[in-house]
Amino acid sequence: VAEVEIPIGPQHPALKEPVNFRVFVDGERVVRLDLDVSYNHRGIEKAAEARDFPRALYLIERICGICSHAHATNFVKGIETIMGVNVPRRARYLRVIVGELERIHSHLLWLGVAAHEIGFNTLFMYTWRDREIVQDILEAISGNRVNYGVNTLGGVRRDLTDGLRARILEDVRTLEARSRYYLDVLTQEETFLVRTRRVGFLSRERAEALGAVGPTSRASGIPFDIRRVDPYEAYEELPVEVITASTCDVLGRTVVRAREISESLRIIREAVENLPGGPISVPAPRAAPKGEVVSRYEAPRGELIHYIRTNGTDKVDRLDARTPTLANWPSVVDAMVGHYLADIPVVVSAIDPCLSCTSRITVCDLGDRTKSVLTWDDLRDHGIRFYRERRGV
Amino acid sequence: VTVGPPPAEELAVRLRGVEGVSDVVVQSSRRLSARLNPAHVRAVLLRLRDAEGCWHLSAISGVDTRASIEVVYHVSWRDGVVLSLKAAVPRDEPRIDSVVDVMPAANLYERQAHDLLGVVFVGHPDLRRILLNEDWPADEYPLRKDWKPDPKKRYGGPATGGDARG
Repeated sequence: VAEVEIPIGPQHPALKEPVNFRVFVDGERVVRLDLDVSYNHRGIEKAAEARDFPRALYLIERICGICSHAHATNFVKGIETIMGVNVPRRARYLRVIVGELERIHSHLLWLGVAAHEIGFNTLFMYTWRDREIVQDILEAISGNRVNYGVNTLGGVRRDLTDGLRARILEDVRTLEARSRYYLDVLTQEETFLVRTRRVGFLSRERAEALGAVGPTSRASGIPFDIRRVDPYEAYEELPVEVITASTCDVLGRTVVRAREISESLRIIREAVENLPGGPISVPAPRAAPKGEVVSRYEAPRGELIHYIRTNGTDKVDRLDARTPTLANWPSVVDAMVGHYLADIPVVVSAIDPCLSCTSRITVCDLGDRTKSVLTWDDLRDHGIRFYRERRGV
Repeated sequence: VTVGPPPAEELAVRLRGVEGVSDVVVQSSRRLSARLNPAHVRAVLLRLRDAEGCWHLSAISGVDTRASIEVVYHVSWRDGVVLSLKAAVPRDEPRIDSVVDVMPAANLYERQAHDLLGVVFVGHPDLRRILLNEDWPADEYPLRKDWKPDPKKRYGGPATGGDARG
């Protein structure tokens, strides 16, 4: 059998940051997949050891450009746990509000990218237009569209005025109507269903064994959401409905995210309407006693872990950040096997990788040693053409 | 409404009888830590998986304590409990059995600790570099506390004064 090796990446115009895949295909079918994520190691864990907590917080917020609040909140709540600082209730609610807005913006961004990967550009335009509403709220709260800088040790740095609360509630109404519309499109539109149903199958057993997290695992029927099982900040008072799907495919991962947008909107409404009074921060000490903490956070892509050790100074002794995408890579590798080359863009996109994939693809036929170079756009076009010819979508 | 001791307490009681596990500390209602004898890592994780209903390996962290390298296994339960098992291995010969066949999720986490701290996971199916670039000098592990970049060495990228585009 002429097995063909196809290196994909490391550059990718659709998603952020580089990753390289070596795809082995037999005809159109993927036999196995290998990945290389080493292109952009920034040494942030090492750099964090050299900065005091307030400075490290700004560094850690920049681990990710999309879920920056997830990293910042997870880090400060870890340090606060070691210090024994009691964050005021109002600050906990505000952290939740910004965190859920971030989840919506991340899921809408993802929905647009996934729609684009299958050639459904109308949906891409719609979702990114609606994402602007979320970005505008975040800017009104924090002054920034990304890297909000809302957190500080002991609480938050930004408060909500009554006027801003009214505006958020109004925007939430608009977004609620839009998220209902998206759920209708995603579950009824034939173009979308043909490209996602039974594509990238990941059984519940494999998802558990491979350590999948977030929407990737919930779409395989695993009711695992840190906000629910290990509640932090205000989630004890604002219980989250854990959204799952049982289809174990790309469609399931999409439906889970679409329904999570509605659930996040509900939490934001509840938090804004019942925002407790009082201060938004308390003074925190400069240094932390010797200690360790496993801080967990349900980031848009799943369980985020910061393992922090402190040594009595104002710096961390060790910070290990395990991001949800690292936990989800093995699932991509598993879910691709047996599928069409044409499905790679959508299956890779379906874990919402916070690393990117591809720009240049070298096709190398091991049989006759020929090589050719494709771009990610070529692969995307190939996928769209493949399904148009075979399935008429 | 849960009645009785918090989940972490119950687990701690059972863990205290497991061979290879010592110094079990309950940090909060959903967090525990314990020391793990590196020789027992596979047996202990197998037991947690099969007899204790632990279903998720959340992460493996490598820590240089200056006295030894600690390999920390964060395993978690459905009820939100996380147990951090700390196995200390010698800095000059940091070897420990791989647990990839017990918990496949360990694969990338073990490669990460290998890459950044030089831990050798015996029996890992594919212990290659994962985060550092391929031209990073061998035997240099940046997360070790005594690591300092040597100004005379190259740590990847284009040669000094050179142009990446050639």
